Amino acid sequence: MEKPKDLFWTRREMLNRCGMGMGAMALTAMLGEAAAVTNPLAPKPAPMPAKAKRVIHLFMNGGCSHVDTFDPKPSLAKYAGKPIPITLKTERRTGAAFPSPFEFKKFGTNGTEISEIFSNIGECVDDLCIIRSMHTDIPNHEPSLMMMNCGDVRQVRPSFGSWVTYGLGSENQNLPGFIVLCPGGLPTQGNQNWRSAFLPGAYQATHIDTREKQIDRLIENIRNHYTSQKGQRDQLDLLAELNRGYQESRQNDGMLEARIQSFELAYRMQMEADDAFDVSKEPAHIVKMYGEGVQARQMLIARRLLERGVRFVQVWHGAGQPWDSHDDIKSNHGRLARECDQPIAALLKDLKQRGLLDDTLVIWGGEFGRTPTVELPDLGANSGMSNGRDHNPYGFSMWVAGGGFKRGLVYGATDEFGFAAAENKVHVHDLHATLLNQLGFSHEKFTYRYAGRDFRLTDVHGHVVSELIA
Amino acid sequence: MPLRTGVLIFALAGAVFGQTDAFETRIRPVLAARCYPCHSAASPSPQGGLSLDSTAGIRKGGNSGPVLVAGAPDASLLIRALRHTDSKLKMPPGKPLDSAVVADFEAWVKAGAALPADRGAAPPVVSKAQLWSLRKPERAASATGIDQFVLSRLREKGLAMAPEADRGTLIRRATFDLTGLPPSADEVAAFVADSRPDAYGRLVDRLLASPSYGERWGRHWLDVARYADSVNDSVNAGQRFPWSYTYRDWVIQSLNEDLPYNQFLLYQLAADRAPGTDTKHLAALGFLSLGRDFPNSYPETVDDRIDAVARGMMGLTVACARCHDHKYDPIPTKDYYSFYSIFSNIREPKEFPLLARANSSGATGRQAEYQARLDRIRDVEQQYRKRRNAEMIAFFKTQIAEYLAASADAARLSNTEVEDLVRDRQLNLFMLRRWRKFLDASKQSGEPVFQRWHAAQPESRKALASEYAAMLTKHDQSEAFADQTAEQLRRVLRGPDSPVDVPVEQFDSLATEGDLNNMRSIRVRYGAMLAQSAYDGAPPRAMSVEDLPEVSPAHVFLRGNPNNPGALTPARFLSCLGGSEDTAFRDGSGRLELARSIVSPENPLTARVIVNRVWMHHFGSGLVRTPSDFGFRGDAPTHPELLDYLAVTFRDDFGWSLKKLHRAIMTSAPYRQSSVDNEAARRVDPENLLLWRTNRRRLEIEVVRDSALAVAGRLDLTPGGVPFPLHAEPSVPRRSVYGFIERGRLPGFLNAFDFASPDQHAPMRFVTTVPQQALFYLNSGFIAEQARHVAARAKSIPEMYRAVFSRDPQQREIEAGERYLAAQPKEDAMPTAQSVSPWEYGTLNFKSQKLTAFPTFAGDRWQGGPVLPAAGHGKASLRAGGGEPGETEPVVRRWVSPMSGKLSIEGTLRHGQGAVPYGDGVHGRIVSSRHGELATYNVNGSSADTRLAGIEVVKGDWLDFIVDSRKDVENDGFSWAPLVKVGDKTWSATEDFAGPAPRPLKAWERYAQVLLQTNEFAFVD
Repeated sequence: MEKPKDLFWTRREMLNRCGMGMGAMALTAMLGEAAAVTNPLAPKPAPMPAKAKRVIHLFMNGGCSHVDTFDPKPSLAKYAGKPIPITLKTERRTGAAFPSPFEFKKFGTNGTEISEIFSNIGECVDDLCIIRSMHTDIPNHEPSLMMMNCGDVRQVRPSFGSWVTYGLGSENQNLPGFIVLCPGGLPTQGNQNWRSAFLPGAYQATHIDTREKQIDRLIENIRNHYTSQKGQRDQLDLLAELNRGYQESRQNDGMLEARIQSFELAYRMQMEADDAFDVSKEPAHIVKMYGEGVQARQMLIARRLLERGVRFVQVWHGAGQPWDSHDDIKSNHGRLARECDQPIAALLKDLKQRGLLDDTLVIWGGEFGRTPTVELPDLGANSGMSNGRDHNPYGFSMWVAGGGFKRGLVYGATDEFGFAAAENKVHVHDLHATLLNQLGFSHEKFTYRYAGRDFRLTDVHGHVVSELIA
Repeated sequence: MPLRTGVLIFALAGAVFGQTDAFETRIRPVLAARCYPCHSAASPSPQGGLSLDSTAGIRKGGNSGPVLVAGAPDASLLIRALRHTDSKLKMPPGKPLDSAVVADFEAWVKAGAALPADRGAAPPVVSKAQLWSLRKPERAASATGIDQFVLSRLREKGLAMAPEADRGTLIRRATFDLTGLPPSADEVAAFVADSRPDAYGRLVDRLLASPSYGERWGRHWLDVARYADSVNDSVNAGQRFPWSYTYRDWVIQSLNEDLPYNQFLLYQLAADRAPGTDTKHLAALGFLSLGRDFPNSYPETVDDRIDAVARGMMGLTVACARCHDHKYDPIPTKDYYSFYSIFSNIREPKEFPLLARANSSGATGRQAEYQARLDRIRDVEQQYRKRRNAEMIAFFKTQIAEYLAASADAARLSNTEVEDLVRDRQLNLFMLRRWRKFLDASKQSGEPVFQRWHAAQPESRKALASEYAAMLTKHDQSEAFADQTAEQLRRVLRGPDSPVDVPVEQFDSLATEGDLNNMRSIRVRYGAMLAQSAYDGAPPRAMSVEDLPEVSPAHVFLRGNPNNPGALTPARFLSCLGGSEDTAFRDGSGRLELARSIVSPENPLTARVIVNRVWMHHFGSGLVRTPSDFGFRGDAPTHPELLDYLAVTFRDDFGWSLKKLHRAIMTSAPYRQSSVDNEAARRVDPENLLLWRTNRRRLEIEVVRDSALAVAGRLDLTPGGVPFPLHAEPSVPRRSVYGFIERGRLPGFLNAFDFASPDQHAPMRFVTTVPQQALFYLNSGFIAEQARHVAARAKSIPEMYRAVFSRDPQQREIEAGERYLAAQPKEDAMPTAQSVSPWEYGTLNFKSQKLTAFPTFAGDRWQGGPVLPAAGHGKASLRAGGGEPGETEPVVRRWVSPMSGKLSIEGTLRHGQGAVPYGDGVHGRIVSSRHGELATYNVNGSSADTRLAGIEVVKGDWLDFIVDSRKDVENDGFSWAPLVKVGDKTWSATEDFAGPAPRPLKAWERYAQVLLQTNEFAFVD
């Protein structure tokens, strides 16, 4: 069988571009000049025309309940306390139909029904493409997080953000190209959610704890503690002089030159990062629009990063799995939504007013949804209450705004009770394929050769859901 | 898409789209998921003679003839079977397929039942003969050495080698290559002055004999072996291995002793099975035991082992053949599963074997102390199981009627339907099986109690079940009855064969998800305690593996799905290397036989792969530039004859001695060339494939770190032992190879510098250039620290050059330095005024009641030393928001008041207890230097509000937030992040938390820092 060609770029080019071993050394030798060829984050054009240039993924980790937010199910009230005619295996035992404790209100030109707890987001519904027929494979957090982020429930695969930064580089060389914001620590599965796996380490996300306010706790070694700015400039000038002397007898070596440039980049990065994370520079009306609290703060940071050309920002609600409301869904989901509803709506409006929404993919959702049935009390599994919901991979809601997705669309549907996606089902792989498409990649051709195989984000699955695209 | 399953994984690949689209998207996935298990060529024996996994098979049909009549669904046997309307022909057994799925089949048949052209059942697309790496390596009779192979290729292109590098360059190159450290200025001078003809050979020999050699090359092997000191890369499950370091030390020592490479591999696969093996080699089995663990998926754990062995030792991507035959290389799926049979039949031994006895009475005492703690944890688990098992039994006794009814109903159902039944009725499958088994046995034996049940009509059984339940419950007591009938009834629930009386050993089958979580957390606690004991100096043990007592061969997982078993695959070697069922392995899991097959002189790959790896590390790239893929998708060798020459020489002449191989390579002319540019050659061969010069290489991060410590005069060459934290401040001046490698949570600087991820086998390191690397040189505490030491050591610019670069400076370099230093102001205005932190961290001495400050900052916490437990402080540590007290030393966070006024305190002291309480919590106190003890709190799985107000404070007074462990020293982690307020000022334990305050560098130190940042320090010619 003929070796299939990488349609994206040839293998040798790829090695060169990602600066792998000899490839990079050889290319720089060939070019015989300073080049950012060893810079894995140098911006690269997408292979196909793209509608979106950057991505922000708002991750409701733990699994936000769709029947309490974006997928109203009046039948649950009808069947309240009675068994429903659908049984699907979830992680734990669930019982009778459990109607949403929240009211749904109509929003936007089409009167789309959205839960009262997301009233602010509801105001933006005309910009949203709501998918009510998402589904994934397994009713546990870990595999579902891996599926949503890396496209595989178990095996070590690069994250979506790593793929995107690998494919496109980053517009801003003074900041990391892929940044994860999560207040208070790491979500379940930790760094695996944004790992680069077999892609070079430069494509792994930089995690930032947005509870921290000091810049040097946000980015390692970003702050110079040892000399004044002038003192460091003097050092860099001396360094450049010594490096030039070293290079005289070592001409035409791009690696040497690239390293010299990286010091200048780092020098500038110190100021840029300070600026990017300093939300106190925002005018009062913007701060007011986002509101208070860590969610507001991190949405604002996220917008500042996107604005500065960071390719991929992922914003997690919090450490662990905050949306995992096995109990007390009313108070827990109510509180969580209160924390992020206004900031997320503000982010959408803010991106829009800056003209950024058109070419930014804003993705909202959790790793799965929750059961329309009540979770039964079980020793050691919940607090012995019957007012929460279990994990549900069969059907859930997500929405995407911007990036060439249709606006004001509600796509697909779950069954009468919201247990499983029923109409126009969209698997996570399909969503990935569609998102990549908007970024200018065919998910079938965007590959990376590793261990003898060409890997894809969507493995051998997924299809572009053209109905979602404007 | 009507159905989505994980099992169609590769079914679609290579398919013909268009008219057979419907087949591929709607039909084949269903066949694969529901029919292949019994109807495929790979299934144990195709049922009814029908194979549905190939076009030919579908067309041919089964024993009843063709199953399809194109265009006529009603006449097609397949459709009739799927409809479940024909009582004699219902497929798949059990529940019929979804009607929508059946409709898809009908539509497909109606439209003509288009099938794709077969891809051919014979899997390997290519034959073994075509793959160069599977041919036996041959050494040309005329071969005289490395030089001629390189020269002849160069000459073909009209090129020549570069001139030999100068002596100074050579010693630097050789020293970095073999030891990962720079030569000292004296060593360079001595070598340059050495006029003996064999001076260079002597240099190579000296370096090969250095213990640093094993540390340098051991690290290369640890990349191959995906070595890490912790199990997983999740903060939730992240856990230290207790004795991972014994594997790392074994690798280093074996290389230093030049253990023949064939033995080196054999021990790593089967030291426990090889006759006459010294106990010390058991540590080698860490190769198998230190990979990632996938807690919920054993197949992934096995896959990781298969991959590390196949790619790491033989350069074959066997893992590609997991779901389907390898697309390119001659590796059928059965080969993968024969390896699976090997690596799934091993386990961790109950107790890891001792490598050395406790070497002091102190160590023995510690060991005993830990043993008691370990026993206690085991006991907690046992008690938990007992208690919960009893509760579950009591619960199942309330469900007798349900299980009897379910047993009756289950008789007519298929396995999957029984699973559905169990779920619908919320019963326990294991318990149902026990009841069914019990009833079957009762029917067989004719025991009297259930005769009525067996004779009853199915309709009447439901009522009868309740009757039986009542009767049995009435007789449920521990004492025997005198009456024989009553006693027989009693024995149903209490007798040795009772279905409900589950022995505690089988509790796992009854456990709820909550139970599994609880037992997992107990085991994590056990593992953490074991690791702490190892880090505390418990005698070293090998993290070995052993074969399962009962070895069971694996089945092929059709399409990679473990629930979809295909043919049985006994352990044996790869078919492309001569393995077959006839030569299946018979010794336990087969590891020893596998190891022997890998290192057999007949194996064409093993020697080639290792000589290529060695070459790669000497030249910057291998002769085969895909060092772990010698298949069709990898690169072909640039110098095939040279590769074969090296492989054969290494195996036959050198007796697998790596040191002899190094010597041969390093004394060759290609290695000794200069790295000088040559424009003409560059045009012809831009990638330097033909070696018209040597490649300039950037030093790996470990080499940079070790070199910085070396030139600072601080490098501590103590070998081996428990790992130290790589990001501790002050830094631990030991070689980086001994640093703690936490899988998935590497210190940021390692990630930034392309360190090999221990998530899986790493063929080679990436070389990227990102600004985070420069930030490390510019702003990290580590580089500043070394700059300070370099500056303290060197009194002049020439001295500093000799220290850092092992050479004298040129005149212009001296001038540049002087110019720089002269221009530096006496006082360097710092960017931000460094305020003195009011917080101090340490432990409280019990007698003197004085604070002993923690000396080490380990990335995110202050503690008593780089490795815990530490002398004087024990396991005590303080993080931003909490900490842990020492075993005897209370931990104290002190706030020294910078002002006078009225003070108030806010905060909450918390201590967590899981569902299985453990230990007795902690005791917190707030003590003022002026007023004495202000408050005291006991928390145990609870929290306490630590709010105080109206306390008078004078500048210089201090407040201590003290926590001790109470009586029990286990499970004492706490959180407590007080806020201290005086007037309108607030100090926060979390926000103010920081490592040691950085001290500004003086001009001379900044100069030293610049030298450490230069390209000359980062590259080797």
